[in-house]
Amino acid sequence: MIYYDITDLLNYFKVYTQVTGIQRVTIEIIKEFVNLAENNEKFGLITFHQDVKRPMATDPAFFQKEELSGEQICAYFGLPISGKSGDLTAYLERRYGKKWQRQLHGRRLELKNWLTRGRTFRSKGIAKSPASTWQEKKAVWTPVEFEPGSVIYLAGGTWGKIDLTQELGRLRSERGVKIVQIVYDLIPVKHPAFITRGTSFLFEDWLVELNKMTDMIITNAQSTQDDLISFAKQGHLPPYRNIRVVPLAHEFVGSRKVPSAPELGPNALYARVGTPALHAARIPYVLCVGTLEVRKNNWGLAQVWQSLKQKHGYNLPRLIFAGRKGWLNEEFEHFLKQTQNLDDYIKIVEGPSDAELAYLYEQCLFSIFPSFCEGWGLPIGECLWFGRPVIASNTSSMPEVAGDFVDYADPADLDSVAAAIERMLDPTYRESRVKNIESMPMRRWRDVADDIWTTLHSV
Amino acid sequence: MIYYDVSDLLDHFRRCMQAGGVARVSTVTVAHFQEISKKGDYCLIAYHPGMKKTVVADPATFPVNATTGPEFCAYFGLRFKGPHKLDGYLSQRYRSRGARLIHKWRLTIANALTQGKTFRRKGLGALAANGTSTAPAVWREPEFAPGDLVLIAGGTRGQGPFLSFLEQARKQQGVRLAQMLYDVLPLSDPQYFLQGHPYLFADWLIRMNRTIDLVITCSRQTAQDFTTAITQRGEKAAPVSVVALAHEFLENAPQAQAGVFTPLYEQISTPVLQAARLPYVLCVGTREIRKNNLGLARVWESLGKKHDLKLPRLIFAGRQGWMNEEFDRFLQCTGNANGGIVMVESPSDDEVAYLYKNCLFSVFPSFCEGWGLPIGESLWYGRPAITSNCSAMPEVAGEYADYADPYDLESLRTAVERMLDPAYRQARVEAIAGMKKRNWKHFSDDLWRELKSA
Repeated sequence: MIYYDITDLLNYFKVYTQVTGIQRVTIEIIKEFVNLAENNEKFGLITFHQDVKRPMATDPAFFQKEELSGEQICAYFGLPISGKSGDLTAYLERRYGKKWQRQLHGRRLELKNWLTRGRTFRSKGIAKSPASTWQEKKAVWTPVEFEPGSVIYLAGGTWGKIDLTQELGRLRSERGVKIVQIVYDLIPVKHPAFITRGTSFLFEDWLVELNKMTDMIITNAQSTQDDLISFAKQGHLPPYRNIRVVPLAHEFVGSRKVPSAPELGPNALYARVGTPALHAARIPYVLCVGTLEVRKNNWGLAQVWQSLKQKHGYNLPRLIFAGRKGWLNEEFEHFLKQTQNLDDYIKIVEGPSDAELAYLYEQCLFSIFPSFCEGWGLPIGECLWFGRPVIASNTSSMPEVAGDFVDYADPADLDSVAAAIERMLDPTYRESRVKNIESMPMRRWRDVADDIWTTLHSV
Repeated sequence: MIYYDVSDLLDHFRRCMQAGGVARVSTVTVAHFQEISKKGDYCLIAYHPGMKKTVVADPATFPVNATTGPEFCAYFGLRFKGPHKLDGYLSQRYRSRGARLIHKWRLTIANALTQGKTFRRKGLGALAANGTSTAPAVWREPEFAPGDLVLIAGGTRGQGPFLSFLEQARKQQGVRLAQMLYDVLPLSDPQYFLQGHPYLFADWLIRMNRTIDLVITCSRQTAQDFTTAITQRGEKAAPVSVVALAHEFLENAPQAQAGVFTPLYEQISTPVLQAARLPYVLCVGTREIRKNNLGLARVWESLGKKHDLKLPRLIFAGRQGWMNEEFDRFLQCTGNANGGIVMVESPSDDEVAYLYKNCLFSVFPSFCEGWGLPIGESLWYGRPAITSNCSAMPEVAGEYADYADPYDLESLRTAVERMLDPAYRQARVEAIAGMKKRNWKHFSDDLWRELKSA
């Protein structure tokens, strides 16, 4: 019996209703697990949710549905749906940071929509969600009696949760349950420069705890595995019991292809991609996807752009940063303010939806990801998935994502970043890279799920 | 008998948690004197603000390994009035007094419940408990014999009763007085000081000159400036001897380490780690007009035009000082010289050490100095330094440092450009490796010898 811990997923949907990248990946993997388990074996979802107090399991069959909306998931698990129509909620969440703002503007928009007979929602790309056919069923949670030898797979971050770690330790020693944890990176202890102070301590405690209580650790990159091994060595801990590497995928699960040509009807471009994104992408651009935080080297990239602009003048394409606003990025913000977004050669598309992200990937000249360190580097694979070339850093896990199909630069040496960009700006070279990508074997999330499934059976 | 005046230390530790630069040098010297002195020829003297009189104590129980204000206060028999680190944290975070009070209680309780984890996470460290293990000194009335020497280690301004007491002892009991003088810059270079300060300094210096038998300066330049300043005012200058300061950077005793990776985050705060994430050149010192911050920033802007992305960043590590509006305006108008300049505000000692260790090289283009600690400190960590060719600065490291004229930015620019070349920098690093570096024990030894032979 394999239990998949979905506490993280529930915690997310407790606050938000919109489904984004990470949740889609989780759902995709659960879906594949259900398919794999059908033949001979049992597979369950569990949670150690603090509201439930003790481990509870539910049937995963629900996730087999083709397309799940955030609302459906919330309703199924009995979590509050923040808002009345799904897309309106998502729209408000994108736009307003505070809850009272969302409530106020939700009311305002609904009233306005009623007065304009539906025109307001249409103009903002908000579609009323279809009538509810899913409300009949709700998740049935049953207390779990763990049989010896069953496997608990923890796919989310469990650090900082002392109760959970203690509970897992108890289950392992008393019931003979096997515990498998996925570790995405060791950044908080290896590169504390990029983390708010305090997090590193919690993370370190957690890594020490994992050493005692896990039967297997899955990492997504060789470099993370190496870090774990040296962590154990330097911390005078016994070596971790069993470390396996399962690389993540290149696939972008967020959205099917977004039509780029003007196409009318409900699928029209303007219905799926917001004006700010369309507006930013109207002229040739280079894309940088990721949270706007210091680790992603936003400041360095902006410096490079400033230097390139002096050289190329208005032949330089614009640089679009697509991502949520993160932390500790004052240098970058200061730079943008001082230079007026480098005379608007730099654009920020804040909190893009999946459809917008897909559109931006498809239309870019190429993308650049000069992060200082990563546990994997999803945007690298995603860009290749859309057939566009990428320049990434040659550090930590990033070279493992796509090997020779990517161009590399040293994130601490901005000159090398500039050189890599200049080479890629040449159309002939870029075309050759695009051709090259066509021959690349793309890894899908289904493949990742298959690999994890096999690994879980070898505990 | 040699008396070491610790009034400065008393004053410092009453208010501060940590021993900063000069105070730490004093504690090291006091402790080292205890080691090299014979019994009965060395004593501490201070004007005690609690008893309101001058007292002496045997330094045998001086808490050599103490590092915090409360520990020293326990020794000196004073009540620690200084801010806890917690207060500093709260004042950074909460504006209103009510909020600070509430959060102080909240954090203290949270910390007690989590067994110290809360403070650790916020980088507050363990707050010193009220009771310390330090044994208090036994203070007694001074009994001078003729020929005794009192070394006044710091300034005596605002300690009128102490000074009068010493003057009287000198007249009546034949005690000799020595004054440590780190610089006479307010008189030699008054343009770098606030209006009025040079007058006060001159008055003090003349009074001291009449009172004392010996002046000890840290550089030949200061000795010369002192004599000139006094003779210009029509007085006869007291005899001067020179004891050079050290190159050593006094680090805090390393804390017990778990040995997991390098637990940098225990000692170094995130803004510092972040500033140092890209290659950088370091400039340590209070940000004031005398330190030539503006000149260096101009050089950096000009280098940025030429070297573009190849130019490392320039980190200014220090406290905000006075009369530096030009520099502040320059940063604002040029966007920190197009992003090439980074500020690290009031770094701790650990953080400064970290910045020294990881810099490409350091620059210290000050207009004038009484010594120039950052030059030696940079070399102490094996990193090359560029400094000014005037005032006392060439005395610090001689041929091991590179020099430029602080009034000629072109020469500073040339010196920096030469150092940016990795091959040349490597050659300088190798030269520094062969340098005999002075530590604070060397300084104390020399000072002791000087006092004995006086």
